[in-house]
Amino acid sequence: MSDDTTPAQSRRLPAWLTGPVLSLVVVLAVLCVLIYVREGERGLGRFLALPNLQVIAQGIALPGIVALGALLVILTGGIDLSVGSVLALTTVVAMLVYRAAYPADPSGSLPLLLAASAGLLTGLLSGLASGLVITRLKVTPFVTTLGLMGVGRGLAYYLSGKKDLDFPGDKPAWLPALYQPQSAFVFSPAFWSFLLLAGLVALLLRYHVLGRWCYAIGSSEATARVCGVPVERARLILYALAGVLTAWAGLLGFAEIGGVPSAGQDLALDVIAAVVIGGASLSGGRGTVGGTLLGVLIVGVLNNGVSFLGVPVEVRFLLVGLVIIGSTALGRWQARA
Amino acid sequence: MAEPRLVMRDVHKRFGPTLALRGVDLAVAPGEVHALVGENGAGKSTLMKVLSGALAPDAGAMTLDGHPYAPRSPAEGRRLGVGMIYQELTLCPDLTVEANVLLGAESVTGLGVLRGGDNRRRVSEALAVLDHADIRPDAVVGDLGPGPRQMVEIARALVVEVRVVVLDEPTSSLTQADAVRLFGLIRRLRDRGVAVVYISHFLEEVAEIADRVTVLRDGRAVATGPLAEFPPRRIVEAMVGRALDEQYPRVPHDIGEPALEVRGVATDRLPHGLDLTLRRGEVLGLAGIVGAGRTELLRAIFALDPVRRGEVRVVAVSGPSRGPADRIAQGVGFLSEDRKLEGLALDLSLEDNATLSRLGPYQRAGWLDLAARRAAAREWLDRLGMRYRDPGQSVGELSGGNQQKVALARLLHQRADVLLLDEPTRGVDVGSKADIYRLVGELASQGKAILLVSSYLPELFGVCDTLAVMTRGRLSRVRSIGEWTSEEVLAQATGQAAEADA
Repeated sequence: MSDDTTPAQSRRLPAWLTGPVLSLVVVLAVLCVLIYVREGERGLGRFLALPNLQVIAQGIALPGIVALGALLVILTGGIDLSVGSVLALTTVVAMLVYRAAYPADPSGSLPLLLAASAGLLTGLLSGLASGLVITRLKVTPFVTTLGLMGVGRGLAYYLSGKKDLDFPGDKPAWLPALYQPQSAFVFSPAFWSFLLLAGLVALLLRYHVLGRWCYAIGSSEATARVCGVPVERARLILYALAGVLTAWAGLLGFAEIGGVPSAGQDLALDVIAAVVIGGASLSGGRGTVGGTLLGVLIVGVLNNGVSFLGVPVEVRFLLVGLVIIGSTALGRWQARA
Repeated sequence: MAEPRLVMRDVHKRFGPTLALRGVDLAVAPGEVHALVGENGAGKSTLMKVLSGALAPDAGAMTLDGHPYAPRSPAEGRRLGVGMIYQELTLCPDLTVEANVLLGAESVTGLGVLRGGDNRRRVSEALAVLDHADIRPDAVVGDLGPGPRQMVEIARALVVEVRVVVLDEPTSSLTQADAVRLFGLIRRLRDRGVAVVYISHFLEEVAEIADRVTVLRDGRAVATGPLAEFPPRRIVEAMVGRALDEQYPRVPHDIGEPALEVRGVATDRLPHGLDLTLRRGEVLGLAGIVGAGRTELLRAIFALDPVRRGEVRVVAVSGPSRGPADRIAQGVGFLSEDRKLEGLALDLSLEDNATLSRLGPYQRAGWLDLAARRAAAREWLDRLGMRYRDPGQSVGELSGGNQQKVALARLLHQRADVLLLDEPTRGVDVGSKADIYRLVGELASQGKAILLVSSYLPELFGVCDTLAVMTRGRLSRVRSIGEWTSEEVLAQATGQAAEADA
């Protein structure tokens, strides 16, 4: 028995980190070299300078927040394809509420408060809807959220009358400050809200019983059930949380671009890609907030670097695809070594 | 008998038209190990589920220390002090030992935040009770071996104030050495006044550990009493409901020419070169503890794992092998120890499973003649004396014993001459076991060569002609079964024997 008990102890980095960290290094190095070759030293300097980092940060805040919810769902072995539609629906609902309340208070404060509440409620309800269909009707998460993806998008178009909805009158003055870098905090409040939420989710996963359950369900649902974990309730709560996180991202989008029913078309796949690049297992049970942050960062840096190089969009898709495969393969290879 | 801790009275449970339990009575006293035996399908697992709270009985009552006990969920049963230890280990491989042990019984604040110190203390206490303070609470369970995993499973029952522990076939995935430790632990629990319900197929174990025995058959408790009144033979007869002719039926057979030669074979997980000759008509047993490398050897022979050095030769055909497909063509058949994962496709039908490894006769340009295939499958299944509804029904619906027969039917259907059987009777009921032993003998008498891996010594002694013991990737000399004693095999397996003859 003695040789059975010895746990694998000799790993330098946990396997979930090796893939993402190495990928980030590789992606950064390759981008730097390419930019140096094409744009020279000054180009590289601009790429690495603060203004560009602020652009990257702003670019990842929104998908990052959604990815935190996706992580919760993926850890249970589920998946949420509906995030893009829910995000779009959130922007539309928020704008409709804003517009309805605007005449009463043209300063925009009350309408904003109502719009934010309605937006968050939209996310909560759609999360609950997927959760209930999955836990009560026993439809698989993939099918459920695939369906909800259509429903959400359809609702968003219907409610908006197939138009992008702009703010009536002037935007409240402080609204743009949400998504613009603030000299006092270096990055935008939107980005900081992403990091704050990431911290909260990390704490939840580590120190809250719901986090334990989340990993347990993904690792072995049968075991969780046998141990008396309220599997259905936990799932429902996690989907609802993911919905609220998506809605928060939606509200940040709303602040920037108003009510856009076509928003977030590729969001689900981008977000799942980030979570997977971050070392999470799509079969559940494995994944961390740290890895997801890295995954989001890798995709963000890649997008930014590619547009910096002026490469066409199809190359971007291709590169993200390669990074997904490459980083997962790296993680596998490390686990074997 | 002392005041009983757990009483079940006239418990009934029906599933559709099937009466799984029809009036079970059971009384277990504190400080007693109560063995519950019965064939597969006798109602043991239903009884377990009723006890745990996963199923509510249709009729009848249970009491725990005199109070009515009617748990509505496994969680409630566990809170009330009834701990279950399941046969299929129910652990989350990605979680740490601590998280697994606490799962569902975490100590939390009002807001659901885990109480770190309190939880850690409970886990280390439970591990200490198990005499396993060496298992680190922060180790990931997926990295542990089967022995420690079982301990984690048991620790889970102990983190709550436990009054009754129910163990379902706890040794089926354990080595002899781990089983011995487990028995020590069960005795300690008993001495602390815990009531232990011990479910097992292994009557030797029952004889060793139990104070009282209850036999289940067809959903009824057909016999109960102190162990002293129940010699193994009487237990078996109560289980099958008739006098049993022979536990290890022997079919006479002669040993002939070599059929398989293993020369200096080494793989990634078996670094030492191994030599072995298996002859026609020979049943060669491979004993050893789990992790000794027996399964790895079979997998290397079957070309499932790459052979790094040395050579495996199937004598009749010769020629190398790039993978299992070549081996099957050469007449080698492999029965995996992991029936659910590797041995069978549980969702597929009996005929699919039985014919999967040799579809050649039924296909023309890739199109299958399903009627011919069904006829062939039916023939083999019937020849194994299987009871089934329809060759098209899925294998998952069958009992463990019948599932194993389907897996064996596949080897026969593929016309294997060399059979590599890895734990062929694991999770199989007594009646089917005897069928399988008889089949092994018949195959040997037809001149087939059989390499049999088993962790169950009486079975090896009952069935094999020759035996070798594997210890940490090394193989002992092959000796005729009469030249071994169980003590010798055990000593060799646990590495305590002089390695002179290795």
